Amino acid sequence: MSNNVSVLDKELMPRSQAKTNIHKFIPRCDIYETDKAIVVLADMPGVDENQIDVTIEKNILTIKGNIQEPEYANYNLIYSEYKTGNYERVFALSDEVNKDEIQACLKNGVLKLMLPKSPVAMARKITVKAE
Amino acid sequence: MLFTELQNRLLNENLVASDGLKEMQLLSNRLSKLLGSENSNFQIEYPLFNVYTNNEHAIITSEIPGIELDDIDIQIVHNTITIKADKIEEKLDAHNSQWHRRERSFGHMTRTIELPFEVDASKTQAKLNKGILVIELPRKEEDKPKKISVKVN
Repeated sequence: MSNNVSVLDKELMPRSQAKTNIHKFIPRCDIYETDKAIVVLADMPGVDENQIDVTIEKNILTIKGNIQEPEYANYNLIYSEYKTGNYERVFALSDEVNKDEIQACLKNGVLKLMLPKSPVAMARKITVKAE
Repeated sequence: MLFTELQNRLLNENLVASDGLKEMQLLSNRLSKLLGSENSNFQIEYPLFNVYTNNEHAIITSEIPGIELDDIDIQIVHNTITIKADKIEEKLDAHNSQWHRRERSFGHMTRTIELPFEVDASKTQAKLNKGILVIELPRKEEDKPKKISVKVN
């Protein structure tokens, strides 16, 4: 919730002030789990692959993406339905993720993070043998 | 402050009329984007546009992450541009995988937008870069403003 509040605060600032700040958006994410990994998909249109920053500190996964503001010199913006801005989202991970083997790829503005489960987590599945 | 900003935007939009029926949905989409897109209905979403113009060109930009160029269809009639796109859903193997969170939208989207002038469909270019669709539309030659010089006899 704290993330939401900070975004809201920025939106409520007077325009003159807000102009100097780049908007920050929370990217929409899909998360699914397979037997080997947890996969995070995040919509981050406009972000260059060099401008994506994925960090893990302790169990906190932070996804940041900076965009290049589009500039159309000699054009007037006559109609606007969306604003552009940087993306940031934070997730708490369980211990079950193998942090050294996280893979990230970006395609058509969608970031795909593969978080492989650690051997410890996979070993937790106990097969029951009949005697 | 938030409220005044929205009102100003609505006034601007009346200049370039969009689908009236979808106005409420758009407004709610926009509100949820302002508030960090946590509370919106994720199933129904239309691609959102920004439109830039000058005397000779128009540029339409739209954020459509996860859509391939082949799944986008653009039609131009006079000054009306219709954009159709299909966002294909990620399919999971039902046996050993499960969803934890689903916020991204999928499915068929259609939007129509009217420009303040007629455009030349044959010279229109569309590019898809990093999930952003950019359509460049040159104004029709006969629609461009003409300067008439006044001579004094």
